[in-house]
Amino acid sequence: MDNWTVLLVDDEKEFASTLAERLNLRGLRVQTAYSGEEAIETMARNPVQVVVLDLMMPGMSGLAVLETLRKNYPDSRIILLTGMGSVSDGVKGMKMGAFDYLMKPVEIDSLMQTIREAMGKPS
Amino acid sequence: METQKALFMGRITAGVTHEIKNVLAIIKESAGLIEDLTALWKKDPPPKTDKIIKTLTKITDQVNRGVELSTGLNEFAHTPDQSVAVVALNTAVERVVSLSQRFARLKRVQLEALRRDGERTISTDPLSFLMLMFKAIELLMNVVGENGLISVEPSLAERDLVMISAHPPEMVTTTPDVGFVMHSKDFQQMQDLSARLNMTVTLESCPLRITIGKRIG
Repeated sequence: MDNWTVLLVDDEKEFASTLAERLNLRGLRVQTAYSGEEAIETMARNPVQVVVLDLMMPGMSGLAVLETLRKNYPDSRIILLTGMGSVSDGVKGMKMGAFDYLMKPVEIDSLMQTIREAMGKPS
Repeated sequence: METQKALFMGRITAGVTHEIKNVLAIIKESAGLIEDLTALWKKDPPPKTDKIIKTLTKITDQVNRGVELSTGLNEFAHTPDQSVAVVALNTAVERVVSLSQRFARLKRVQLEALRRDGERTISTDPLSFLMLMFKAIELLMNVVGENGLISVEPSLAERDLVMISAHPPEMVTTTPDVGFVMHSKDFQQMQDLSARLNMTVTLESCPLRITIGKRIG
């Protein structure tokens, strides 16, 4: 499993691509997926240890992606990104085994800290 | 009825404000990226300015998107100001399509407003009329399937007002179960609402279409 690459999953392409660049500048390798289905395919090709996952997406929802990833990649750590209206989904996600959840718009330093913790904690 | 209106306003507001939040998130990240790049100037030779210009353009585009969203939401918020008002059908169609885009995106359905030449108007409860059109759009979005298209347009026929048509994606050959739609709770609610507005709703199967019309007699 690739321990130094983060998979960023968000249907808002402008948001995902810009955040990916900022994480790149901070030393991370970042893959992006713009849907739940694409995230599952990407993980199948190149599983990563940390996934940053938007909860509200068209098609396969963030929670459905979380459930699939937790089942197929139990060593991966999933960080959820959630908007105000989906805080309860964030809590639900934690009960389903997410590593953490952060509110959007996300503070880059908070996200980096959470990613470092996700990469550093033993499974 | 008032509860229905309140729920409708809440849903639309939640949808549009979620989009506005996405806009702000993109602006925040873009501005942050410019900060990151300019901070690099201190350590390394200056980064290529085209990246900064591209990011600034992204910010401008998102600001414009945000202004459009909040203008639309503000106009929507004023809809209940009058219980009866003159409503221009082209404007009403464009407004309901604009407010419904997020819901369409979540279902992966394309949604479009088609204008008619000339301006037909009706005198009605503007909020309830918007709600009726929205319910029709939502009902058809649930049956048309992913990658389908919903088009909304004022009708040419004198006794009809608005047509909401569903076009399944090309590769789909089976037609949706119209009987199921007609007996659904959502369609019943639409009929109740249209009756209160002195309007009618009719469902056709081929093409799959809901027509909102005037009640005659």
